[in-house]
Amino acid sequence: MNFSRYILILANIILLFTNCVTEFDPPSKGYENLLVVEAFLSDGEEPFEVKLSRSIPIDTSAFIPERGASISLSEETGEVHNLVESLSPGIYQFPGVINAQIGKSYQLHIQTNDGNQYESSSVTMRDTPEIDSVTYRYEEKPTADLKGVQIYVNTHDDQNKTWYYRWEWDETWDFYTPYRSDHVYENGQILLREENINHCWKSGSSTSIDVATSKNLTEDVISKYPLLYVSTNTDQLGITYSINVKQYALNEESYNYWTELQKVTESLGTLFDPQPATVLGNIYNVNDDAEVVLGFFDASTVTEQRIFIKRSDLPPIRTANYYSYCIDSTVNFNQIEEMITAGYMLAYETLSDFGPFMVYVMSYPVCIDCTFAGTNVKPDFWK
Amino acid sequence: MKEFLLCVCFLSCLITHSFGQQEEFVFSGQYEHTPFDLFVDDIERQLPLEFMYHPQMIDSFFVTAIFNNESLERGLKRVLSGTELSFFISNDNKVILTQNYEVRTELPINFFDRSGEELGRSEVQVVDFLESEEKKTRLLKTLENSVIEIGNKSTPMDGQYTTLAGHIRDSETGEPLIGALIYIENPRIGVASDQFGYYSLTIPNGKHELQLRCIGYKNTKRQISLYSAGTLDIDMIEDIIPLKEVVIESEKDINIAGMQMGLDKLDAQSMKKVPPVLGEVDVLRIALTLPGVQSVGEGANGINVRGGTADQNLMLLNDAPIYNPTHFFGFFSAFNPDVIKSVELHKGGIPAHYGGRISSVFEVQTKEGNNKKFVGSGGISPVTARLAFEGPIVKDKASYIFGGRSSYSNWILKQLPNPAINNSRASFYDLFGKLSYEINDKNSIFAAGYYSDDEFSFNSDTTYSYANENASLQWKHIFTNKFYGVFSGIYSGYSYNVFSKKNEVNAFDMDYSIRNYSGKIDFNYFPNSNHKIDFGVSTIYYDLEPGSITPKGDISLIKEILLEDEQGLESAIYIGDKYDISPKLSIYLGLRYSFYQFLGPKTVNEYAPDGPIDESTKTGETVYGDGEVIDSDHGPELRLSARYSLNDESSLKLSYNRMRQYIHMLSNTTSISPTDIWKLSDRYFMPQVGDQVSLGLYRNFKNNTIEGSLEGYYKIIQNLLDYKSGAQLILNDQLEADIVSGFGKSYGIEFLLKKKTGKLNGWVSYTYSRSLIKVDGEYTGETINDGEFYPASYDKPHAFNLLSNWKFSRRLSVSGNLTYSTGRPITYPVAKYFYGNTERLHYSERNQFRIPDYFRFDISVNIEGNHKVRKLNHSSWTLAIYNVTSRDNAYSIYFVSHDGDVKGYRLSIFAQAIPTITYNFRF
Repeated sequence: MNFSRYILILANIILLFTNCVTEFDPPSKGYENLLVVEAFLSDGEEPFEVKLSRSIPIDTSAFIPERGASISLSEETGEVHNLVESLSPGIYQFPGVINAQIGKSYQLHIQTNDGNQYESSSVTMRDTPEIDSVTYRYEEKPTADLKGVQIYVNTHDDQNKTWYYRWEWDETWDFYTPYRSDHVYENGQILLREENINHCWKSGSSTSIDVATSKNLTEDVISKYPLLYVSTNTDQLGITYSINVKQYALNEESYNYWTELQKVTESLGTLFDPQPATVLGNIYNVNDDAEVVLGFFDASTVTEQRIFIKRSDLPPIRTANYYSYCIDSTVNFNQIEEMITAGYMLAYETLSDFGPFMVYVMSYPVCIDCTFAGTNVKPDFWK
Repeated sequence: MKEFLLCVCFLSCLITHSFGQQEEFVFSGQYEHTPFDLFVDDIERQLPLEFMYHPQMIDSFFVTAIFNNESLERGLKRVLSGTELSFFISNDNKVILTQNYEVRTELPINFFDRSGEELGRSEVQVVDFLESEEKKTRLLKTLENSVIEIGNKSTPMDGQYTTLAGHIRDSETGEPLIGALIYIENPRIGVASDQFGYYSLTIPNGKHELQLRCIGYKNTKRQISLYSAGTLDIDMIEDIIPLKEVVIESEKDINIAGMQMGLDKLDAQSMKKVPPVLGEVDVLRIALTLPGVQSVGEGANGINVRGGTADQNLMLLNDAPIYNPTHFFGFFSAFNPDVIKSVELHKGGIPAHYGGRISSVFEVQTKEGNNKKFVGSGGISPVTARLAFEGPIVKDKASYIFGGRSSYSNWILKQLPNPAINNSRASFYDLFGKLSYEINDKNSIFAAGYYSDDEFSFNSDTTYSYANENASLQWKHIFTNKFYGVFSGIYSGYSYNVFSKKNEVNAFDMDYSIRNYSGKIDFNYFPNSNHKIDFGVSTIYYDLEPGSITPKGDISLIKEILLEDEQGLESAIYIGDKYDISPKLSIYLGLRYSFYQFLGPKTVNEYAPDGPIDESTKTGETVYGDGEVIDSDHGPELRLSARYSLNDESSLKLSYNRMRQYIHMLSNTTSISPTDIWKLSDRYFMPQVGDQVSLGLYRNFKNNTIEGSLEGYYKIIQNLLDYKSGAQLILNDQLEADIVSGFGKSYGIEFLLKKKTGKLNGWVSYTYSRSLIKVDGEYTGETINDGEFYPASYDKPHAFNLLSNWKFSRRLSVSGNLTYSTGRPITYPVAKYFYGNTERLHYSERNQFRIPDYFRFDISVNIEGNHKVRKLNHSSWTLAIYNVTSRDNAYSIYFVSHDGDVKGYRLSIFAQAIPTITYNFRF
């Protein structure tokens, strides 16, 4: 538990009344070009992947991959796995399956194009306990004027040996456009639309650091760790919302790395800010102690749990409507071309209310075709 | 002059009538710029009267007035008001005019008595303020010109040195005056009164004119015939500037003639002139307007004096240390302005009787109760309501003062429509009380107590509270005129508690406390006119409970942690001598020797020698028994000052002092957070040692109405504490593994120009200073910025302050406060990188960039009610605007990764102008 965090929250009472936060574009000062290594080893089927890049000036945003490096992963047994650079620049993969095992130690070796050699500490693969449950509760957050669903993670380790946890999540939700599209206008003909472009799925994934420890408890239990808050200010809770939580077991060293990174990149802005400092990982230049390498190489198994939240499970709520501007026009067949030129799209053909002839309901493409905002491929896990 | 005085005395003996018995004379007339003697001739024609006066007295005195059957008495009063002339109508119809003195029919005043009672009696008919002031002044003149005989008259006046001692007090309240200067001109010998208002002056016997000076009080003098050693208590009259008069006070040359340098003194009156923030008069904020005093930012807890950290200030309230001198996370100081008499800030040249912190002494002196009558004061501001009252228990002997202050923010929070806020709590209060008892001429006893309490909770979740508690008992005994001692017993405590019960599994209760018990004996000895010696011993026993956490409720799984108590004993002996070598040269030689012991019972972690101290190098533990000395340290602390008068208006001062500190506050946040803890020195936490030299040039201008000073200092600090990256300071039983030792260096030059009196008063200061830190440990993680010096978070090289007060009339005054300083250094990100779908920032060198410069202008208007003395209560309104220009001063610039992108933000605390209104009253 982080006591200073409570104080930070409390200090915000004052800030509510007095302070003023303004956003600004920070200029770059004293830029340092450093190697960034993102590497995580698990026992899954997914290929082992290492991402190499360079740090960039803070007023830019281009990803600069570190290309042409040779990377290998060594096991304590002496076995070495060489990675190859994939088609995506800066991403290196092991072409096979490493078959990493709990309790074994692994070390990462990198030689960059400029000849510098880097090594990680030797990391022992940890076993991650199962997630007990992912729960949710409808909560209102009046301070921020928000309504929505707070999602919690609960876990524990029977053997009392994990103590440090990290989570990542992926969220998916479905939505409908206001107009279904049964027909398609093609070469002057009305054809039946085979594809469903009315019902789609959107997804997102965690961008913030979620870590917790049970070290201050008598048992290795994490109860109701608040993972994220899904607000009604978006369309996420409109129909069905699903979240998949991945759990990683950390050790004290990696836990400290993540909490430090969180402290200097996510929790600043209070009266009691810590001094931001370099967050050192476990990767070093073999020949130069002083060179800072960003990133942390870690290894553990991953456990997951997915839940679904249906709107009907919640108290009556109002979610954001992203289609409030959508209007439709009903036209005759010979007007379709004209409307298309004007940026409209055919939704469907229907019988006119005024006589025995067909009319055509048209609207803006984004109001009909949900693939502008998401994908109409139903995810495998979707119930 | 003397003949005249005798004449007055003679007359007063002859006269048997008083005003009341006079038969009624009425007269009429119309005079326009009529010379006084023609006016008299006219009255003499109308009435059977004869005027007697010296022609010199009425030289160029003209009368412009209309009288219509007006009584002679009233008419003359009107004519003579505002002049130095008084009149008396004798039995045989003679009108006698006197200059400067009122002829009194009462018995001569017993000068050894306190004149206050006399004043009180003469005030009975007084309705108008000005008139009462005049009476006081007249009475004062009598006091000043009558010869007081002291001692055994049979002693020959042979120029032998004799000691005169006594107390200097406020004539109205009987409160002792601190730092009042009492001296004779020939030979020039003088002393300043101490914190009890006590002085001891050794001068040749014979006739002298004693001069008295005290800031905020009218200059006065006493004629004495000193035969042998004796006592003389003197009352001084508070300086209230009348409506039509501008008093130019001369010889306010304390800063030239005094020894002290690096000392700033604020009295209650000057504090009231500073525009308040959120309606609260705040001594800590006012201290920030003084040269050499900085803070990390607006609303930040703690002050930084001449490059020292916030824990290096010895904050004293009636000699008892205060560990957290603020309320509300540092927004308000914990001192109720109604009970404060004065505040002294020693930045350099610290006398030997202070010790224990290395940067400064911030001493708050509270008032003593009014020992003549019951009075009270109070006020209402947007944040607090406060009340203080005082009065005699036994008139002139024993008195009390009580003061309390409480926020009513809880009530405000409840009114707000936002449920999160009205489920939140934020409140504080403080209480103060002091009893003074003057048992007899030789013995006085003082007892004081203080308690402050803060409590916060946010949306009914975690509740946080902290409290300061202090108590002190002091006995002052005067052994002889030349020697007195003060025996003190002091208790100070600070504790905080955090609890949370929102999530039952994690519900906890966490406590921290520090207590100290100290005893000290201070002696003051005045062997002769050239020496003023003080010496004493002190000892402080510390008892720290460095933290505990316990589960709250049955379901809670919180692991109980009880850190072992820490005990320490800090003792010191000191002696100091202020030696006036010649009228031009004075020196102060002080030596303090402090001893420190870290005591058991305690389990001490052992580490492999010759290696870094961290969790992995721990080799074992050693258990020490109750009272066993685990670690000890001691060292001399030299305190030297010298003053050389270049001439009557300027002097040069030099000082050196060394200070040692055995208790440290651990804080790895920019501003001090309320959960920061104090830690005693032990085997791994070396005592902090500070050395400072300073040199100052003091010069007064315009008859000493303007004081100027230029002071330079250079200070080094050893064993400054810093922290390894990711240090966890709370509930850590291996703190030594998280700290690194640094070296501090600061230097600066401070310029101050001060005008204390007159319609326009205030001060202007400019400081150039640097505060640098170097952390260069042997092992990885123990070095910051490659072991180079880097600026401290409060390093603000240029600082300018202008505080001015303009008195439009006695009822209306306007104050302005202008502050400018260089922006504080911050650690700025030098690179950005992508890691796990998110942009992250990389920070490297600490404090290499600065936030924008700080500028603020505040204004306040003080409106007093009318000045009738006999009114039931006196009230005043203070309208203040903080940050008039609404300048958006940055408190910090920070960066946050949010939704995958890094955004830069600028946090301001008071970005808008904040108007407040405060109502104050006295009764």
